Amino acid sequence: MFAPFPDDFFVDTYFNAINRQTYPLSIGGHLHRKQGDSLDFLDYKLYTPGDDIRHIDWRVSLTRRPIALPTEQWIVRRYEAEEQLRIVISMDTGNTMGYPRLKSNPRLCISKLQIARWIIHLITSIATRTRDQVIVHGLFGNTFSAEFVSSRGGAVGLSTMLDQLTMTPIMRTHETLQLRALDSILKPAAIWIILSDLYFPTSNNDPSTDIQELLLNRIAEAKRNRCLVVLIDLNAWNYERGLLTDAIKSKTRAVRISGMSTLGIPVDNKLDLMSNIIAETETSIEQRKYQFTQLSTSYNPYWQWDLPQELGTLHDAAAFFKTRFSQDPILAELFRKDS
Amino acid sequence: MILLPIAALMVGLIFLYLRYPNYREFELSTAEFFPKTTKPPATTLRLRTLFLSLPFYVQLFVFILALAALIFWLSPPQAAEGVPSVGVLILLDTSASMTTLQPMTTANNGKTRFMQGLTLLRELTDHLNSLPEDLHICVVLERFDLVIELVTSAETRSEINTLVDQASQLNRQFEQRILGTDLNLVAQRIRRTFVPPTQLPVSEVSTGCQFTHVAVITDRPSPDWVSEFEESAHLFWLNVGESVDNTGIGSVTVEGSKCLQTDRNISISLVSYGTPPSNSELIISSNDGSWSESRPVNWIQQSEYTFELPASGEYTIVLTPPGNYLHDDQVTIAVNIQNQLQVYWGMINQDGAPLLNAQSVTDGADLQIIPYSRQVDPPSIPTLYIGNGYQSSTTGTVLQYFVEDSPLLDEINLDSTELLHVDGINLDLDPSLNAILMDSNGRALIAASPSHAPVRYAVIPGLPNFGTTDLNEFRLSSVVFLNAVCWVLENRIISPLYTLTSIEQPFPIGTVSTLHPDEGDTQSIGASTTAIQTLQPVRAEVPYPLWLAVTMLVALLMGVERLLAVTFRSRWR
Repeated sequence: MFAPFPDDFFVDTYFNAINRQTYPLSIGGHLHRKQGDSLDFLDYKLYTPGDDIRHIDWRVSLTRRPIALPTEQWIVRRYEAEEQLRIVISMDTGNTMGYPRLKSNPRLCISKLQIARWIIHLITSIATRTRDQVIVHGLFGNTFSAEFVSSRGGAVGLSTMLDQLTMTPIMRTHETLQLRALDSILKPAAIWIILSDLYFPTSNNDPSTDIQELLLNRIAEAKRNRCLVVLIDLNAWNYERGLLTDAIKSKTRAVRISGMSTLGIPVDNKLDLMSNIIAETETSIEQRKYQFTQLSTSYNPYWQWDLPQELGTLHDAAAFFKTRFSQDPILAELFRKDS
Repeated sequence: MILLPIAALMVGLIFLYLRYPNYREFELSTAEFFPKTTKPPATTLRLRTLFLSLPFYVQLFVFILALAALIFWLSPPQAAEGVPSVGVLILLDTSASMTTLQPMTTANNGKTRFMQGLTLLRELTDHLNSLPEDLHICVVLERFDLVIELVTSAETRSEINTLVDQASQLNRQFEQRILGTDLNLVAQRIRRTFVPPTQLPVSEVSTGCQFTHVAVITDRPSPDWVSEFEESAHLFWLNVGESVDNTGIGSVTVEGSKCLQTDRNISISLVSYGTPPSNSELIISSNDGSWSESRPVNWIQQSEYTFELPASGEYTIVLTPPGNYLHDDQVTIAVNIQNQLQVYWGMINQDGAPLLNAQSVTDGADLQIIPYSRQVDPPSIPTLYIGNGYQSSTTGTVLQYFVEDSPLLDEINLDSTELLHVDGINLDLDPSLNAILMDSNGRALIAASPSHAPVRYAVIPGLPNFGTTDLNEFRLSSVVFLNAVCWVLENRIISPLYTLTSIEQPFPIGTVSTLHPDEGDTQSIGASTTAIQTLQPVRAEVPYPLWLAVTMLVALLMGVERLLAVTFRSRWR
């Protein structure tokens, strides 16, 4: 069971914070990733697949072409325009996204999935005001799952969509990875937000079945299509490490760790052993995420959400969410009028 | 049996703790990143887990307390010594004898015993009011004669002061209620009062006045059972009777069977207590004024007097001069003198005829007595069918069924019946007959027509056997015969000469009289057992529901334990 969005007034607060002004019944007036159709020339750019072929400046392309005429050398004219934004949010619903779990009240799950739902809810709420498009996409799933939850008609069916996506945790395999579904929805110049803890299993033997490899390739392709790729890393390691640290301090004789695998660690008077294990685990996690963190650029941000140790109650989680969301500049920039 | 589930729960708790792992478990999303070098802790049975677990001891303690609470609940409630208090149950005698006048030679001259009782009641309430002001006092006043009834109760000093006034109201009721005395009821009431609350079922523990003392104000001498309460010394038997002379009518009887009354003679038994007057006279007169007869009473030589009455009717008997107890000096009787019974004997053997004092006739009989021959037809006059008789036998008769309240079985000892052999009748041949007494072979030893039949008839084993040497057979055969005769002759059954006043009819009217036994005995008196001034506060035992306290403790501990479990979660185990 998931908690509803904790504070609907936070949408207004957030808008005020980013000095955003909305224009009802107009198309989005903000960061544009796509050339417009106005007559206000902006500049030239190299052609990328997906560009409107009518905007190719054939003459300039012809005069500036070096020897051959590869498509990469086509020059496209860009015009100033305000256009509707398409935001595609890929939500990872893999097994580990269901953690951490609140044992004192298992029905209320303040997990990475919960935080992800709130992020989607907030982005959708904002997009609804700006009349931008939001498509929620299940990164993993047994079937293709992607739906418009915000369009010119307003927000529709978000809760139902999220409930369907998060109903059961999905095993992360290359077969359940739903990247092909993105082909039809991830238009050039769209914004692709990936919500995940990035604990993707690796397969060193066969790159064609390696989830990390497949996803990295798709991100690269999106970038080529001038998509803005925002990686939101919902990281619970700090929280989980805090649990283990508390266990050591409270003289627990041994801990049993279960989740994706089950193992036991004797703790009795073996603080060093536990510390080493934690350090070793932390290194493993960093290595696993390494390739994704390296993707981070100013225009393709890697946004890490570290769930704090004090995430004990719903109130704690809500406070953390609002603070963290307000502090991050990426989405604020996305929805800022002048951007 | 109730304890078994709790014992099973305790065993289950121990097993659960034995099964508890000695580690803390965390569900982590980063589990797969941990080194795979260590194995998960096993969940085998571990005594160490059991003995080192504080929650185990807490929960076990709660279980033990719950078990104790259950045992306390099933046991009689425990008692705790309460604060000093006085709770008095006053049983005031309002029977007919309390109207007896006290002797002229004492200071109570002219008072009745009841008025003397009120004086004692006043002394008692005065004494109660003299006790310390802060003492809790409650008083319940009840009256008794043939029943015990609540008069009033008092819990404050002012209410106690009104007790005598309220009790004096009862004096007027003697004009409408003249009843005898049933001391057995008093004994039961007192025994119940002195039962410690701890020995009463929880549902019967009184929440009202907790009695510490019982005071019985009566003119009857203290019975033997009063000694039962001597140890407690909390029973005050306050006797108001003073020896006084009295003469009266003891009883009036008539000779003969209740259905064969043909005697015109009634017998009047007189009683005398103390010195009787020398000029006593017994007068009997018909209520219609047509006949009267009187005789002087010689108290020394004769206590029973017989009168021959001229005819059926109501008569009033008066003894003069009246004694100090007024309700035994007069009685009205109703006499129903029957004509001699006319019997048709349809058999040669006429044993039993002397018992009936009957005239043998062939026509116009009131009753016919004929042999039973397998089957009967509903007769036109009351009929007694006689079987094959009784035979002494070593095998006897095994009885299987009898109609408990049938008048045909009055005064019959069924055990002695089984010593005799009787040929029963097969009722399959006589569907009009109902079995009254049946043997194990399903044959009826005594059978009778339905009681609502226009004419009654019955079948009995035989006539009275005057020739037998077996007393049992003689008695049984005679009683069965007479019972059957009276039952079929229902119209000849006479009413009692008089009846006694009762709760339903408390005042003498018509043939309802006040000749209750012993009420006129003005000489059998006794002294009060204990002086009123010795009544002092006592610490009464009050029931203490220990099970309730333990149950509350169990609930409290469970609440604390669960709170700790919620607070410390997995660490609380």
